[in-house]
Amino acid sequence: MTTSELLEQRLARTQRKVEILEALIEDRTRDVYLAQQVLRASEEMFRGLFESSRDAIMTLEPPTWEYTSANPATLTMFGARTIDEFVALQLRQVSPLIQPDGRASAEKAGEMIGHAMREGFHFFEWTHRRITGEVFPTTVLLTRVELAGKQFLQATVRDITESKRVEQELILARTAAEEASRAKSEFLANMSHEIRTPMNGVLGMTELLLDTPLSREQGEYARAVKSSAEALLGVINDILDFSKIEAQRIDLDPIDFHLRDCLHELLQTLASRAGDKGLELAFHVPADVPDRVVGDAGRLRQILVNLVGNAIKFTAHGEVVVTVTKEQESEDEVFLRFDVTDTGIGIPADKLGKVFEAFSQADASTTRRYGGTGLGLTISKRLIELMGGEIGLESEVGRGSTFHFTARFGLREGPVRLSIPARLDSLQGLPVLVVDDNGTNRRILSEMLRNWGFRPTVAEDADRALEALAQANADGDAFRLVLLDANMPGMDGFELAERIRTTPGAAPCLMMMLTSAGRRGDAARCRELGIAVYLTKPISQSSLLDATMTLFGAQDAAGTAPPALVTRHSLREGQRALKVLLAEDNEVNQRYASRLLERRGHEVVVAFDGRQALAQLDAPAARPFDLVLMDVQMPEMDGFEATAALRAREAGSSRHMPVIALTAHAMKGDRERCLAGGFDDYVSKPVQPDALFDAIDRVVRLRPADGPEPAGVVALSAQSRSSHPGDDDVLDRASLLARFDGDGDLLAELADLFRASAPALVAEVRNAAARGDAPGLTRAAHTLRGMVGNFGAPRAVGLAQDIEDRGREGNLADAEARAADLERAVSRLAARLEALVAEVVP
Amino acid sequence: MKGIIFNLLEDFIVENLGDEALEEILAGTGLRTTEPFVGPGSYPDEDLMALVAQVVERMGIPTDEALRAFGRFCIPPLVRRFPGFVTPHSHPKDFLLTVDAFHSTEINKLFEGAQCPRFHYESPAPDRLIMRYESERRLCALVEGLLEGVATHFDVPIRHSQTACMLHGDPACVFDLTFLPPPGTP
Ligand code: HEM
Repeated sequence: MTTSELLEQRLARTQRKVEILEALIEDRTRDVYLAQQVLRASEEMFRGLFESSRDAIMTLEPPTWEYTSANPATLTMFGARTIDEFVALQLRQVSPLIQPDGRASAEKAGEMIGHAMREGFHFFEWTHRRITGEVFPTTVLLTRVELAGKQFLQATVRDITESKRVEQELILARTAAEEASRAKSEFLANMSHEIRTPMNGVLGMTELLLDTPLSREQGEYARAVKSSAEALLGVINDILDFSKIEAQRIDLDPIDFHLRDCLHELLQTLASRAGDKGLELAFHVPADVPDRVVGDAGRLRQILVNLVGNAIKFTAHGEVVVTVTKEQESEDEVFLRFDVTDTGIGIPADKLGKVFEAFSQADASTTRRYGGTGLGLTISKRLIELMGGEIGLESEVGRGSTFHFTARFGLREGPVRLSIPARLDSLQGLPVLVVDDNGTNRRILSEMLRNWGFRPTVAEDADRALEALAQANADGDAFRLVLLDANMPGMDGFELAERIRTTPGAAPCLMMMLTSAGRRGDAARCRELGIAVYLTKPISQSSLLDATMTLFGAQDAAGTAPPALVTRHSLREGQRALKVLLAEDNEVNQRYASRLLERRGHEVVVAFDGRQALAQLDAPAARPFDLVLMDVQMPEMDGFEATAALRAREAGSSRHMPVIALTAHAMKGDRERCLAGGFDDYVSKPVQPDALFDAIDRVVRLRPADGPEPAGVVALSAQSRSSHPGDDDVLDRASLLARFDGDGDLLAELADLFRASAPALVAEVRNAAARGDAPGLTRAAHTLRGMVGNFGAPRAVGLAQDIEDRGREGNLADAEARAADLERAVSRLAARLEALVAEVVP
Repeated sequence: MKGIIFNLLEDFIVENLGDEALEEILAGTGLRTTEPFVGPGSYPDEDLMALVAQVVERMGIPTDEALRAFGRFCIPPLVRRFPGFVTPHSHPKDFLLTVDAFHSTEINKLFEGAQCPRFHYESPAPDRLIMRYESERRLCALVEGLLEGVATHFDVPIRHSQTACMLHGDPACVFDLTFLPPPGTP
């Protein structure tokens, strides 16, 4: 190879090498350029994040943990002008000496750094300090970073001054809201109480006003005032309860009570509302439910009144039924379930949940239509919870609703069963026919009867009942008792009773009429038809049992004769609503006796003398009188005369009007004289409530005439006499208060009447004495004695009696002096009476 | 093998056999590669061994001897080109302990596609080092020459013996090195 060839070859190779390398360099340069661009972009991105972050970001390097870099946010946060200025700061220069937890910042910072280096990161709250010295709360995230074999920390610091402030404000706002709500509830509780006091005044005075003679219009207005006031009071009571609940100030007050009586009484109070709407109101407590329980009867009553009241309110046709069942029973506790079922308008499914919320009934329009605060259910729900139970609701629009709740009750004497009288044994297997168009009632009645060992048969209308009666007669197993629903479509209970009574060849049976509350004239119709018992719905097990026992007991005692009318009142309270004619000339006595009678729910018509009394008895009236109370001594025609006239008219008929004598003489022999004079019984004046009602009870129930001596009357009279001498003889305070039985208003009212009429009566006595008019003196003294006798005034009574007795004998000696004595006694009595009234009636 | 090693071998041929020999060898060896070798390029290992065979033939020495001489020849230019790997160290042991690391990291970055050898170390005494060489190329003679070049560079004599060899069926070639005191030290 020549040198030139060699050189040529090498040159060519070198040139080619250059070309290859250039191509390589170009490729590589482009790669590098692209790689750099990518790198720059990502670097810019990270730098941007770092630079624009609102959090302060800085790095710290070991081992002294000085700052090595910081972002602009750091400068703003700490108040440094440049990065260099910040980086020159020591860790301890950006923190206060002590952290809020009391630890030295330097020591704690070391701990935080150690933690982050060990775990890789650490997050915590830290109080920092600006260059200006101002401290501020922050969160710090320390992250361990490794770069090029070197470890350091990155700190991300966030200023939480604002969020702390917001948090603080929220806490304050919540506390304030809670405080306000509590204050509101308390205010409501106080307010409601304050409102209730004058409301009671309005109600009380309206009631008194209604007792005074009023024109028809005035009476209407006054009754409207009363019902409005009652409604308002109801609303206020709801609010009071609700606010108590809100303020958590409601407590239960457990007492020992009889469940069935409690239910019966409360449903009785609602019976007239149900009756007015033509609704059946029934309740059912199976025999296995204990009767004597311990719980807050008042609150239970409140809940049921609310639920049943609502049910009646929202039901136009059909029935409202309360059922109690036993869920669980232990040695000393029972868990009961109450169901209140109605056939009312129902509640739409989507509204069910809202029913128990305050201020909500199914909707506002319903509330408007039916009134009410809408608080009742909320209150009930809370009360039920306090009783350890739950409230629930099933409803179907158009079909009705069932509200049910459970509650826990204590058992006083272990599990107690309803006791069934031993006398029932004799009635085992008694065939009974139940006639009622309402299925629920039929079911309840027949279950009660079956529980007692009777054999009930049910009929849903009069025709079926007659068929059943005929069938039973044919079978030789005639019904001994028939329970009749008074209101039935088609042939009603009364008509059916008439048919039963007049069916030829039918075996005699006893009938009980079940009526809805408050229907006038039912009692009279029952008596006419020979129906032994009438009871108002809802029927309680015990009243039905009592009535049955009385019926069969009476029948046993008096052979087969149907007994006199037995009503719920005579069973439960010894009274029923009677129409009473009161013949009495003394206004105070009139007022007192009327008031007593009216308070028991009786209707009273007043006559001033015997003649007027007879006229009243003759007058055509929608409702005949059930009873006459006849003062024996009256002007014009006295009680004996009037009664004799009455009996003369009755002679030859089966009619017999019960008449009770009111005599001023509590003496032996009065009773015989009265009975001989045609009276059925007698009560001595001053009239004691118990004596009066015992007598009414006796004559209306027509006890056998040879019944026990009316010991109550004698005993009471004796007592009132014996207490005279020892006590203050002007006014026998103790017996007076006993007589008015705490009714301060009645006392005040009669005291007023006394003050108004006493001077005239005293003047009459004085004048008659001055005139020497013995009969006039006797009558005036008698009237005055009757009046002062009301007030337990032994001295005045004694003086009047003395004048009266002497007058009757025609003895007018010292009459004027005695009249003057009487006058003084009466005026002293008036003064004492006034003081007493002021004391008793605030 | 990377072009840099081919370029070094070209230089070695020129140094020992002259320019003309190189041109003759490149023109007449029948290499698979037709283009001239450039540093960053990658070329078949067979071409390298073909060139080495030419050297053996023309110099009349065994292949081992040729590779060892080539290894000795490589160190000074490599050190010149890449002083960063060598200058931080003053003793061959320190340097040799980094050879595995820089081949597998830096050389791989600088020469894309390089297939570097792996070395494992044992240091039974301060003046000793046991190097275990693993490579599919099995160029233990080259390693020996490189070690000699390193000894020369640091002016520290290294006594070495090969206790295992892949060419004799061992899984690796093992060199037992003893660093002797540099000449002139008492
Ligand atoms: C500044 C010093 C050095 C540089 C820059 C360097 C660089 C390189 C390069 C670029 C290759 C080619 C790899 C390939 O293409 O696959 C290589 C291979 C090789 N180097 Fe190094 N080297 C250095 C020092 C050493 C030393 C000191 C040793 C041994 C003690 C060594 C042992 C080897 C061996 C044996 C190969 C051949 C490939 C193989 O066996 O698979 N090198 N070296």
